[in-house]
Amino acid sequence: MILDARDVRKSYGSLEVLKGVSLSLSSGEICGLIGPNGAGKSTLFRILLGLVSRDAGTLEIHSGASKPLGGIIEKPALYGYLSAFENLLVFSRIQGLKQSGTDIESQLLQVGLSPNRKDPVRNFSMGMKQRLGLAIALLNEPECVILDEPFSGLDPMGIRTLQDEIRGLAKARGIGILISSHNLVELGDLCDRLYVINQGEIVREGPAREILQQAARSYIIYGTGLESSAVLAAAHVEHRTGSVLLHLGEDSIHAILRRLSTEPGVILTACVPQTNLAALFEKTPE
Amino acid sequence: MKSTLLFILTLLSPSLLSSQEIDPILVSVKERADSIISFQASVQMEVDISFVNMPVKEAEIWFTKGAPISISSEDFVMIPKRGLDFTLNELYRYPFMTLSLGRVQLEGRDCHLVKIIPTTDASDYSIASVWIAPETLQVLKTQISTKKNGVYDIFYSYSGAQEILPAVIKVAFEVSGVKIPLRFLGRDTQIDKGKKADSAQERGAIYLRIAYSGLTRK
Amino acid sequence: MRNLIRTELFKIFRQRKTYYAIAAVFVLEAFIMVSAYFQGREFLDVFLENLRESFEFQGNLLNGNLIIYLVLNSFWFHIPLILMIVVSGFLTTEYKDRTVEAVLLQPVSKRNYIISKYIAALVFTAFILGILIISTFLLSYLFFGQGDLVVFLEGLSFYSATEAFNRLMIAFLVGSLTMFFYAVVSITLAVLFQEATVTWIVAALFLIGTTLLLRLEFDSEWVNSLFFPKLTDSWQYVFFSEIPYRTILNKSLVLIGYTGLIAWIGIRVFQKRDIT
Repeated sequence: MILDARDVRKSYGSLEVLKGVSLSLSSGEICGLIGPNGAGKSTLFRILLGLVSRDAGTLEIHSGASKPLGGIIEKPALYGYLSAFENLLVFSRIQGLKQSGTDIESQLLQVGLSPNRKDPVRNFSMGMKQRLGLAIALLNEPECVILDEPFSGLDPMGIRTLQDEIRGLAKARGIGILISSHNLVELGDLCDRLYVINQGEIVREGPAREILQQAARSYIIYGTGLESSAVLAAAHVEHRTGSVLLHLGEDSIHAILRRLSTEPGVILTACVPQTNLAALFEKTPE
Repeated sequence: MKSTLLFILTLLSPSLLSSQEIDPILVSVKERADSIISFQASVQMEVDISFVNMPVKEAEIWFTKGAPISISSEDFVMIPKRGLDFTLNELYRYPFMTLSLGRVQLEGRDCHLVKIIPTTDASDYSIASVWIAPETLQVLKTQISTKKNGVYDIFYSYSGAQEILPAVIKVAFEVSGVKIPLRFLGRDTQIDKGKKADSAQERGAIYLRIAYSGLTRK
Repeated sequence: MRNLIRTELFKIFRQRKTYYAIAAVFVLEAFIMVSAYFQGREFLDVFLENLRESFEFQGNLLNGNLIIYLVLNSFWFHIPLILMIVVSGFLTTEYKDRTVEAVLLQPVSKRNYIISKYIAALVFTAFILGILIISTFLLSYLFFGQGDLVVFLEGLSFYSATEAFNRLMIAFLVGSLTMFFYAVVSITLAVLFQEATVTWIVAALFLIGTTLLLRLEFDSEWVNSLFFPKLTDSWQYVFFSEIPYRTILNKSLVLIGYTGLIAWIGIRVFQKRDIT
């Protein structure tokens, strides 16, 4: 385990922003932190990254690296008047990292940026800025990277590219990655584990798929013969072209899928859970 | 005022017909001074005024009879014009009469005192007094009451009894004629305005130490 | 720490606004020099006016040394005003762009970061002062030549060209301490207020207030020795006929103490504050 935060509390005046949050991260693991706006995600990340002090709780970072944690908070903060190369140079120098021009150029290439581009980064697209921010977060080879809302402002292509990079960092370099978002779609496929935070408390935690499924109250079922299925006719469904939106009732999804798979004339191809956000953010009983 | 009235009264007195002639000792002094055709001199100027701080300045002067004195210096120098009138020609410029007051003592020395009174309004002074050492015909002191710039006392010292030109000149004058603009930048709040008023009556002096070269005489 | 300072200076000189500020300082210097010429001429016309009848003059008092002296008088309000705006921007811009947090996400301590800001501010101030001083002397002597300096300060003082040059240099050096003080104040104000416009307003108020307080006369020797506005014009003592070196040294040391104290306040506040 690289990072272990226990019972972290933070208040701003009378407003209690974090009410005893515990979270951990291991090498090579991708953890997601999901919650609505104002849930305390950014505050927690600022505390983990040392920008904000905590009122109570413990934070252990088990790493011998000179830079154990790297991170980006919200949008990456860059020196807009410097080029990408110069930004990396500046951030390298301030932490005493001796890098040659070739080193910096290869770091730019690793995040998909061209080292030949000399114009200031204020001219860059959001996706390019995110990639440069990631390169800066990765300077000095941290063992853990914390990314706060890294997908915000990116187009679907940009999101996909960043997801691939994150996966690569975790799997190939064994970096523990903690990502926050308020978007399920972005985190669902990416994360190994998920924490759900709401109103300053962790309301759910566990393997990502399990968490998302627990909060699923409907499913999109893909297949053929669905429109004439008797099993589906008995359930609360909305028929769409090529799929059916099934709203769960008393039966579990497993039971319905078992009956559908044995129903003649029906061929199932996929079943995608539709997580109900209200259910997701609801606190699970102790 | 009283002394002026006295002079006018004595002038009217017939027993002083001799005052309409130029005093013979003054004539002799003038003739001696007129014998100088030209000279060059190095002047060291020292200012002695309470609120002026100026280091000793040096200048070169050139005198040629009949021409204005010329001055050259690397530094800024301000030399009183009265101090440069070695031959007292400025006193003789306009018609004048003299009044001999006979022998007087000046700092322990016997002197012949002559008053020079211009007889025209065009003159820039109202009366001048000249103390002359009768044996050497050297002018020891002049006191000039100017119309615009107050009273000058000029003291002359010589390096020898035969010298016509003085080696040291002290020009003492009133400093009320010097206007200092208070709003000049600087620590103006430190100016003691009471002191400023006093300086209106203050007297200052400038010392000229002169070394002559190339003296040409008739 | 050296890396941080080098990086700060690198960032300062890569920004276009730094050069705008330097240009503004030079334009201001040119205005001040032209104004000094006309002021000097007016002063000398008045001063010499009725002396001309009684004195022969040689030498020109309206020379480079007088211009430099008059420029020196004007420097200590106009230049700090620009400097405070520029120097406070070294930090307020980083707050605005959130690069403060980006830097602190690296293994850089808050203490070292803010100290490097103070040091960079001092280096930049020294740089600006250096080129200002050199250009003032060069241009003044080039256009107006050398000569005696006349100063009206506890009397009328005349200094030879060589002595004037030396005194003017010492005055600039002593006055530089005041500029360093203002530079440190700007960074501390930037720490306290973070937002650029508010910081500029407070900095301008501080400068105006200090200048006004400087003109007040206090009977207390303690106040005159220890109250910081009274320490900002020690350079004037250099033009007293007998230079009171001890007074200048004492005032300078106290001003350095204030500078250190204000820097310490800024460092402590920055260390204690969360980066939100």
